[in-house]
Amino acid sequence: MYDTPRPVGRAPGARWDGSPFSERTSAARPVGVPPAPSHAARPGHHAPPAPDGRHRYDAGAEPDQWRAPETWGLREPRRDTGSAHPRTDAVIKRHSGRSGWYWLLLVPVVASLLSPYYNHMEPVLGGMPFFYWFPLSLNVVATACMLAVHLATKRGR
Amino acid sequence: MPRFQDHYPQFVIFVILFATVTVLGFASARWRRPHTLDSLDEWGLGGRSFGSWNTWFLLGGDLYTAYTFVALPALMFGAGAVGFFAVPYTVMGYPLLFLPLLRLWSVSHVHGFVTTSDFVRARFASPTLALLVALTSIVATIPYVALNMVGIEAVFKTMGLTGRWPVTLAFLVLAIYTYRAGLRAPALIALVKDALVCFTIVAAVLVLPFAQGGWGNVFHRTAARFDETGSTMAGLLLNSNQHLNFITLAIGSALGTFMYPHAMTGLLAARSRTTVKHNMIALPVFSILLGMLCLLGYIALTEDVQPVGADPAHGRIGDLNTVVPRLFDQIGPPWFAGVAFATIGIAALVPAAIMAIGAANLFARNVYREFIHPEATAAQEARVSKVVSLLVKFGAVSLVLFLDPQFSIDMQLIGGVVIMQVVPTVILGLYTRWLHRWGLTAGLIVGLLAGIVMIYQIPERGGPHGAIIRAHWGGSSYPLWHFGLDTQVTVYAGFVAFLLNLVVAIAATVVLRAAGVPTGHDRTRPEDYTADAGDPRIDKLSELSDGELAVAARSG
Repeated sequence: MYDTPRPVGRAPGARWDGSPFSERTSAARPVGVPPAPSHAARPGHHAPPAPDGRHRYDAGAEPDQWRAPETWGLREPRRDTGSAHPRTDAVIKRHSGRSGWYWLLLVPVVASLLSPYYNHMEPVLGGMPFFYWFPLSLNVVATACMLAVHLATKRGR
Repeated sequence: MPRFQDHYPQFVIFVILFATVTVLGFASARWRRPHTLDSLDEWGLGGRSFGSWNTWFLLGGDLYTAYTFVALPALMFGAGAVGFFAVPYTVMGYPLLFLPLLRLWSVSHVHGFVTTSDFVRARFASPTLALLVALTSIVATIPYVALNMVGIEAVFKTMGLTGRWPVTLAFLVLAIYTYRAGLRAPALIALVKDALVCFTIVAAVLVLPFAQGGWGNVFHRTAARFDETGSTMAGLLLNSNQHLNFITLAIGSALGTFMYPHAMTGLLAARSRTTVKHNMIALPVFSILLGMLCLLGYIALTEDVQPVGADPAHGRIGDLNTVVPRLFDQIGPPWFAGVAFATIGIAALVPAAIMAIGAANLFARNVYREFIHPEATAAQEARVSKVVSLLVKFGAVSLVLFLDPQFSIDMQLIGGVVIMQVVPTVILGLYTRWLHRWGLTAGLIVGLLAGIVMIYQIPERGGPHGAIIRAHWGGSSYPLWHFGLDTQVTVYAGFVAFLLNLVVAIAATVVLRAAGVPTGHDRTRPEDYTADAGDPRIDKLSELSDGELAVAARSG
């Protein structure tokens, strides 16, 4: 919500009429089109400031900390990380960014760095010295390793 | 000197293919037409909607530039085995950055980042560091755009077309349709470019060696040619002093490539994490083509191709960038030479357009919006970016036309070294926030200065005995004897600067953390780095259809 102020701190029942998505305007919406969520905006798609004129960065984490307006075009996503989404929690677990398979990615990297070991004419393949065909063939190894990592760490398996 | 009168068929084919992509470029504004192009997400990132195939063509067309196509074979032609660093470099790049780039894509997707500086700004809460990263990237990119023009110019020279108007005209047309359509234009042209590149390289690699009786003969004759010149540096294999340079050059280039704004633009235009993965897996196909293309430098050597402006009697080597175009001109039938010339020309347009867009996005986001007009709307931001993309292109044109092209080549050399200096901030920043923002800033500055000073100290050598031709800016192989070591071993200057950068950043972090200097507020969260499109954890308006958006905008 870097540039998207949210109406916060208003009295219960008070109407924030500045919202572009407030109930008042919803009549203009064609039937069958769901209302756009009021908290989100594209960069630069400015919702008017909150009635108290203050912008707020993070509604969830630091409820008491107000920040000066900082509008530099980035949106703060709405987060929903509670146990309300059991599937999401499973995804988070599945997707913690760690996997033993990732070590495979080092194979083509390390092999490419061992130039003293492939700096030879022999064995020749199709007329090409080892120094030339070996690094070229590492492209295939790189693809194979990345493919293996991709398949092994795919979500939802 | 090649004469234009002898190149009518080539020129006609060149013009036809060039006209085709121009039409495509203008038509691309209608491709997956959004309601408005007036935002960086639409104009600068093609709506962040490219699927695996589009991204593959786009990144392939983007990372493998015309300059690589002419300069790498030229390097092999002149320097032998060292030029083959391009292959380990491109092999390494994708597996090395496979995981970091996925994280970068995810965090950018969640927060709507358009540039690497956006990420740095949010992660480290430091406008200064973000500005430095943005300026470094812009400075590194402009000469790269210029060099793509050098690529086109090499083709025109080979066809006997001299003068400034052909290049200027080509870039003018490019500038207009990129201004209108944004990233969609190069993305669509990339389809043609990659098809032409595949055809030309595969045809050349299948046909040319067999005219000489197979690769075996090519390598034998090349070895003989290198022996004749008696150079100690050029050969079919690396000599023992070259390994360190070869490896550091490869790893440095691999790390640096994806820090360029054009790589970032291509990456962030991808629709999902899976799209990015598919691309990392499939892009090595282009690396194989690139490796084959490098070997054309040897074929040119054995076919006794003379670069434009070469005068062996007076020891002049001429414009080595014309080696590949001259090879096609000399060996192939005229129609094939025409196709090959058009390939190089179009291969220059795609990356030049994307580089200009990437650099312009950096300016619009991290200079204009951050420092000049913080309340800018998306439309204003996009307009600034469009205008800056024009300025970048014309700046690059004037670099080539009004200054010695050698200046652009030197600048690009520096560009490769300086772009590496943002690696600690961006790549390590994706994993840890331990490094302090001011430590990273200090490291970046030290790295930039050290890199530039080192390149300045390197003299250019030429001829069989390695006589000094120019005292400064002579390459990126830094001799270790500068550090007081008694050796002829050289190392890639960018890599040394990168290590210095890292050491300074770490040392400064220890001091700053001990002194309790605030680290700022991190706006990203751990789960942002693994988020995917359509993730239930994030909620993003751009995943709504355009119709809903329009309704939302109207009712606002």
